[in-house]
Amino acid sequence: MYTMNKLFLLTFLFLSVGIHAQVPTGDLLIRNGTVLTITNGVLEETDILVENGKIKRIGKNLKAPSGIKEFDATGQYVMPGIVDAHSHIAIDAVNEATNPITPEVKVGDSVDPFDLSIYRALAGGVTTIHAMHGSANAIGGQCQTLKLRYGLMDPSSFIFEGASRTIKFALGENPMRVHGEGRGVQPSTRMGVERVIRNAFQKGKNYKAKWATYEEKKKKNPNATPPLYNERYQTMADIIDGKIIIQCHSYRADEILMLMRVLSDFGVHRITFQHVNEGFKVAPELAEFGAMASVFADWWAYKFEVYYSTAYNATILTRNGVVTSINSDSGELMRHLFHEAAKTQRYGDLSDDEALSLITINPARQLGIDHKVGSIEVGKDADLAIFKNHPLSIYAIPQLTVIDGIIRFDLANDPADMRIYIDAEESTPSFYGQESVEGCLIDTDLMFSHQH
Amino acid sequence: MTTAMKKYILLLLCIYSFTAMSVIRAQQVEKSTYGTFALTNATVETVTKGTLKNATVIIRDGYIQEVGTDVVIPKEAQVIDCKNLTIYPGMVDSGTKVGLQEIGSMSLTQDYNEIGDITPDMDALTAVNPNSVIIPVTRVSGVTSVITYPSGGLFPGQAALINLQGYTPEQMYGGFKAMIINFPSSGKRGRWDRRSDEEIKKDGDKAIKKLNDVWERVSTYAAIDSAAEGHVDYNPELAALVPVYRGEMTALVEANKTSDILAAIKWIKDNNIKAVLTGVSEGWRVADSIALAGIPVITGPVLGMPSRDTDPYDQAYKNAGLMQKAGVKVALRTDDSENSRNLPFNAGFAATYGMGKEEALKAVTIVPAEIFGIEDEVGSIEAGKKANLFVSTGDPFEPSTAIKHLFINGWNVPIESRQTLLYDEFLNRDPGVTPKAVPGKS
Amino acid sequence: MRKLLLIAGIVLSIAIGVFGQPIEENMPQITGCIALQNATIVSAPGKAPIKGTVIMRDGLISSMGPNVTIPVDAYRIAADSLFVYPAFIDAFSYTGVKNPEADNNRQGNSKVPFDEEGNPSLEDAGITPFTTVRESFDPKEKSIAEWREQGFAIAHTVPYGRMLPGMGAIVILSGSETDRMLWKENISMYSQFVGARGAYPQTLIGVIAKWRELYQNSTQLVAHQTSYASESFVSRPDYNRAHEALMPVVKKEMSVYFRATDAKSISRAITLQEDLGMNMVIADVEEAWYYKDKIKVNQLPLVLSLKLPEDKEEKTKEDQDKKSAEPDSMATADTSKSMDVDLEKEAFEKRRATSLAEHRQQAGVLTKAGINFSFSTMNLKKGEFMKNIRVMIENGLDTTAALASLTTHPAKLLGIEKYCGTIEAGKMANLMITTKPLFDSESTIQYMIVEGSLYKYEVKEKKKTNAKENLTSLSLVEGTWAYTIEAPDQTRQGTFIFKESNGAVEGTITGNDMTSSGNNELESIVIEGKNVSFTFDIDMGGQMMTLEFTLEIDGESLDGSVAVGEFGSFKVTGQRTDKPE
Repeated sequence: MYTMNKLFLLTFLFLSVGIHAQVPTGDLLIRNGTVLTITNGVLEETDILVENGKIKRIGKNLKAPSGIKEFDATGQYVMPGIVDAHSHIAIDAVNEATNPITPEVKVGDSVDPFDLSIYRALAGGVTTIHAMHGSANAIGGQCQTLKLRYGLMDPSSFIFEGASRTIKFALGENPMRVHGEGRGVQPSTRMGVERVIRNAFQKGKNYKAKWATYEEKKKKNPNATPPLYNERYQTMADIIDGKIIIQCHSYRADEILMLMRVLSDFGVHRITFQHVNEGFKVAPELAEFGAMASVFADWWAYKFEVYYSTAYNATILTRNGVVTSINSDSGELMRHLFHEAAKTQRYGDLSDDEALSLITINPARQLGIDHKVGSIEVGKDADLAIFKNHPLSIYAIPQLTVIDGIIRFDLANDPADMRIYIDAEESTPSFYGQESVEGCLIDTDLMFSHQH
Repeated sequence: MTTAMKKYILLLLCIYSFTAMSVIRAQQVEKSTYGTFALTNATVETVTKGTLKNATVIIRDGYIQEVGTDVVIPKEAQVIDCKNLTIYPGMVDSGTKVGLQEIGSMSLTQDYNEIGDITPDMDALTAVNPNSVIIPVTRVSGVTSVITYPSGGLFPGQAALINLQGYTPEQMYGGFKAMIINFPSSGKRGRWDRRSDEEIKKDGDKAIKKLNDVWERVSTYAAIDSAAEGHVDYNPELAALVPVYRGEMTALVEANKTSDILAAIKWIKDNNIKAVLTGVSEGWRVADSIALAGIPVITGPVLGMPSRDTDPYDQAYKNAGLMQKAGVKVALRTDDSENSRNLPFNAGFAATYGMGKEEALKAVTIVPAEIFGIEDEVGSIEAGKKANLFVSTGDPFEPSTAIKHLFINGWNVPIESRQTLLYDEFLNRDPGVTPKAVPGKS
Repeated sequence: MRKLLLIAGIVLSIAIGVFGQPIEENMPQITGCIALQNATIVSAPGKAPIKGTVIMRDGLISSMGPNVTIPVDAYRIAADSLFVYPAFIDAFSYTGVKNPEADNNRQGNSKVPFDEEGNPSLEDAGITPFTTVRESFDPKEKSIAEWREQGFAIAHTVPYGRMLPGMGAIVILSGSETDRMLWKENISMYSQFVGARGAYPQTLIGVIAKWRELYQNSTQLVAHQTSYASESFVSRPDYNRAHEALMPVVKKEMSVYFRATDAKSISRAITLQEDLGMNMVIADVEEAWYYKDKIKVNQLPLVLSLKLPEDKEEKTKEDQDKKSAEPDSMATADTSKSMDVDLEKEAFEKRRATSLAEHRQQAGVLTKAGINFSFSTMNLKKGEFMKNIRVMIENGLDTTAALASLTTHPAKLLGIEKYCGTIEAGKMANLMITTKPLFDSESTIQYMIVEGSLYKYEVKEKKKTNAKENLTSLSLVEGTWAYTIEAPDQTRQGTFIFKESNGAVEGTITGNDMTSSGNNELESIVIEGKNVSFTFDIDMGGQMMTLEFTLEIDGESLDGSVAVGEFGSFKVTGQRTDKPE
């Protein structure tokens, strides 16, 4: 590992120069709102002062620094910017579906700063998304946590600085269909899914050992030759080393248990199960393992492995002590995650704070960004969403969405056509019907709707 | 141990065994009950006759017998105290696949798309599965009736209104059928649709020609049928379309793109048929034309994407309200199957984005009843109407509202579905991870 | 060598008819010396025109100026009314190479074989950095003559392929021998974000991940080979053709020409360069203005595409005279056409027009921002070349920068500025001789001189005369013809359709077994008296063949023959079946 790290040191220096492209931040004073802090209750008639993109002060009648932009939130609700833990917008490639094991690919390499879905998500109060590889492969690719800084041109300026590395795994029907049925290679059963995943971990472990041996040799012989670099197994080694949080597309109780067994065998503990429709059936096991869960509010029956689901999933998981979030997996749903969270008050009995946690602090924990976003606290990033009416009410209307103190959506100034990139050859705007392939199986040439 | 403590422990034990019993009971299927019911002390949103406070609704033999604040409660009635609760008419989802589809990715569980472009004799009601797990999941959110419809070709078949209770399709039938016509589209079917503009236009023109060809045949067939007093050659497709041609059966004409909507209106007018426009996702752009034509609309899902990149992000939310404000009669649909339960939330979004609460409620109750011509039967809380209603803790559009009681065709339907049963079973799973981890046992 | 140079004599290209293309005839060599007398010479971009004479011998410019002595053995060209410029250099192209995928299409869903790790062969993966231009180069490839006719003497050519197609070469666009024409081989590494078909890496993210891995392994290989060469007790490096081929890139001895046409590809190429640190040229760029600041800061050399978006609106307007407008897709021209819809359409059209303008202004904007660039012809139709350059000039590109982008800038980029790019004594005799100042709309090329070889092009007559001539010749052929070719195996039937378009005769062909990869246009149509000749390229199971038709028209019937390469010549008969009023 170590020489390689040296070899890559320069690269990473370059990389960090690239990524830390100066991201614009702003100053803002939000006046007199009902502040839903998430972690510290509800503060009535409270101001929030933002400086250089960070929350500087929270309190009543704050003194306004001269010249600061003010927003009057009287009668409105201010909540932390919504975090979507599962999304496929803002990237141009979702599935490298040519191999069941592709941990080396990174969707962050395909960030699409022009995707109009970004603006539409902002208009629903979303400030951070977890852009994920699809579910065609048992081990898909590395995901990218993004801040929705729509309007910036440089893809790297969307990257959420300091977020954990994450990687997509997928169990069950999707990898079985794509590889087993589609390509005639393993896995075509849930047994096979376990096998290919174990295999990848073992190879990652072997790869790690090979480099360790090389490092030993090198101490005696500076001319020792390194093994071939393999980004695939290097990534598996990184997972084993705890550097990456697994985000595993899963549905059935048995496969969830299977993966936890495999991870235990390789000493891996950081995992969030995604969708996890039958998570409620093994909630005690998830809690014991320390696994987290990111679920749909009410999606079910779109395929057999989600037939025995319940919309009470989020409630059951929460009550069993599993850190749970509600995600969209859809550019449409993403625009009303606040409403999706509210459904837990119909399907279960979560309190307002618990329900809002599902789309703020909990997904932030799952992505390793809870030190920066997910609640309204002094020192955190000024990523905020302001609503007319309580965000859990059906009558909620997003008014203003702020990222790093900069207004990225403002209902009062919201032109219809928000495209950045214009196709000079398109003579009329295309009409699209409602049906569309979204989510996990993009790029796999399998045109089923609803294959999440 | 003090007596007080003993008493306390005894109490705890009682509570424990009581809860345990109720869990056991919940795992058995509760049945609907029928008879006479008095829903007392309720707020009643009649929809057609305003709001009544502290009122009573009497249900007898499937119908609402009486509604009012001064009602004598029959002594055989089962009284349900609705203090702090509100009674609403059952909601109608005017476009779904409920009963026709069980699992989205499994074609053998789907009965809405027959082979062939012209299959108007296909009858959705035939294939409605009364035992679909989706039906209880849908009705416990207050959706008591749905239009379930076939799709696919130009004339995929006939839709049926069904009530979400009953053991046979006949018991479920809500008294309205309509012919589905998928008006040829000149738009992309979705972002995956890679056809060029020219190809789309060509396909559209071809389909229009086919539609008109079929219609000309129907016209001839109907004329011969009249002249020959019914002794006409066997042709199930044409025979099925004759009632539509003669204006005896409503056609549900699906059109979404602006130019398609206008073309559909023209086609409906030219052929003088009784029609409802469905889909109509760009209706806002030509709302005046629709209103002028006097054609009602079934639109949805409200929770949808704008149809063009140049449209505002909330255009689909606003569409229903914009049409309604322009004078169009608008009913709502989810166009879903397993999540038709989201109808109240679709209506809620329409309400929020311009339609207003009152009109949105009408769009899922009395307006569909009017469109289907059964406004004397359903769609509001009025004496003499069918007892399709639910009792809730408040505004049914609000997610935090709970549905407490449900009546369909006068049956008192338990608030239970496989999803609630799974909740009951797994909220506190027993055994948990290991026996010692289960609280309350040692 | 000297002998070879002398052999490069005069090749006279005679263009027959105004619609056709020059057909080369190998004429006997007269002399190895050319004198271009008394021409208006622009010797380099930005240089004031001078009146003078250029003497060329043995492929080089031997002298130039107002008062040079003309050698007695010189072939003299009286150039009093002509203008002379350094010939163009194409910075990035496929000129002279064949697309192997066109010949060798993988059938439908046939599966790509892969190893136990699930990886395909390097070839199936599209990772062939070891491939050379030589492997797919053909001196007779028609793009060579086509681009020469447009003013190009030299092209930087790369092979077709996918993620890493191979290495580029500098090609002299004249001659008949590969060895002579490939001036400098393996001077660049070509890459693009194009995944493999049905194999890893298929997507953008796969390609980028693979790049990182290849680059790292190549870096390790460089270190390994160094220690293997200098130290003992070092085990022999594993051999991997791709890693080995990328070593010059890792050592920064070779630039990667990254093809990045659209805005997002440009930004991704820049990021890849920042991540890995190789020398990179961003090539075939159509939308650089989105990232011009970053391109400038990172000092990335730029090769701009000469493609411009088609303006469908303008085209529609033209068509509208002929047929009634189609109902637009937002709303029909129905009674309900409301104000709002018009406003909506207007707003949309405004943004589209802005985008169109941005494309057209790009070259000018970049020049003003101090960013130099060269031009590429990759995937450009030859007919669009001068037209688009002129559009760019109308939209802010100054003519000096335009000329520099086609001469001195690419020369410098390719490291051949010592040899070409300007007209100076001692440099390669690559000249372009035009009838008017180069970018004048009526200017046409009369001669091309490529390393001393002379090509002559028939200058088009003025349009008015053409139109009249056209009219008479057009009526001879205009309409639809049903033809029959009597080939030995079977009789082939089909139609020709001839019509007028922009003052020229255009023709198309259909047939019962014509598979011509979508293109059915007749080329080199020449009408003389009652005789019509034209050619058509046909795909015969992966091999391109040229059909040469020679026909005589007698009223409503035609009679003649078609020559099909080595297969011989077959009888053609036909009747006119439709004639427009």
